[in-house]
Amino acid sequence: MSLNLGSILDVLSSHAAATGRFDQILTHEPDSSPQAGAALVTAIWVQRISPLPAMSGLAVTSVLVELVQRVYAPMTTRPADVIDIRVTEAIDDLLGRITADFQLGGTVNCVQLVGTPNLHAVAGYVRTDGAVQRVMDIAIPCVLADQWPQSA
Amino acid sequence: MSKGTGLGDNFYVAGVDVSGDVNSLSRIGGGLAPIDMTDITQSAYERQGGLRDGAIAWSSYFDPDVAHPLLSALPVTDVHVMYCRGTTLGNHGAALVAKQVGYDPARPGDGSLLFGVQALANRYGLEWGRQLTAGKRTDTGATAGTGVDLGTGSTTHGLQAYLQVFSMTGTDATVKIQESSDNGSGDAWADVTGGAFTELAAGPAVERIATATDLTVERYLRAVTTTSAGFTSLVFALLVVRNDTEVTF
Repeated sequence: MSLNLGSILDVLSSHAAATGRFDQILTHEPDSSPQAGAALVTAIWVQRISPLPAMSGLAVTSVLVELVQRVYAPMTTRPADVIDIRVTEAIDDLLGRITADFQLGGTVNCVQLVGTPNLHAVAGYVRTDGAVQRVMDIAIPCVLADQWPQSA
Repeated sequence: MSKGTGLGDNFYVAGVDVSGDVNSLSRIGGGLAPIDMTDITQSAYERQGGLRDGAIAWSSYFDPDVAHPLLSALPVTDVHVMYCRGTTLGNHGAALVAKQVGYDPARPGDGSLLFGVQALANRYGLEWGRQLTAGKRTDTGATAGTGVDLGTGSTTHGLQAYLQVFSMTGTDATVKIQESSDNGSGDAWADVTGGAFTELAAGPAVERIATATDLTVERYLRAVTTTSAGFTSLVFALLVVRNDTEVTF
């Protein structure tokens, strides 16, 4: 079995591209300020991998892969009032697309839409290279069943 | 071996390995139902053993390929259930001849889907034993398994054994139990009297056998397969219960 993370990132990148809202789509967490002109930037990475007791069998461990998809908007955007509107519209679009494809093209058993943890987004700010970015992080908990057989 | 966990367990139902579809086992129960015999002169309860019983209850995932076709049939006939505590040769396990009661789904708001299933004993109660196969064993021809040490000395109260056959390719195969007092080093392996299962022609299949209750059973036991016309694959699991005291069913 394989978590096949590359395929999962590909599907999420495709969904982001299909929105037409992003200048750049990154499949890593950038360590420098993303180049966001008038449009938005999004980055996707794996945040946490952990066993999932609620889907594991007696002799096999199912896995919860938690990804983060961050949407960046520069705080230099004017008027400032449009920043959150643009970011949340993008987030709404992404959440809708992920929900409508909760198996991410068959790469996962499901995105945990309403369980714990669930698909959700949280807003915040990030300062990188001296530049402040308005960000909103989507947490995408992906269930992958029967990944690691247990044997003593 | 010291204290252990329940990791790496297996669970078989009617010759089907449903281990991957079991979320948890909430009960593996057995023993006698006590009968209250307390009289008015006594200051504490007096109880005697009543009917032997047994039950295994578990939560099953919805798996349209494995668990669902098996459990949704809700058979009215007996169902053989086997729990293997790990899958190392000689590990402990529990077996049950039972009636399947329920296959009831719960779909809570978080989107999960689990089915509650019970197996309630029919006739023999729950029996704990030792695995003469390491979980499932695959033989590609007549094979003599590795001996399992059941403890110092022989016992004189017979044995019971449970067989689950998952698949078979071939014409015929027979699974039987052999015994030795010293793991075959000086005392050659010999068939246990009454320790052979019915000849197999196909799988899945299940069977429980019991020897005479006064049979002497040696310290070491092993599972062997034999054939007359040949087989190329036999996948099975065998659990044996060697009685330390006389058992009546």
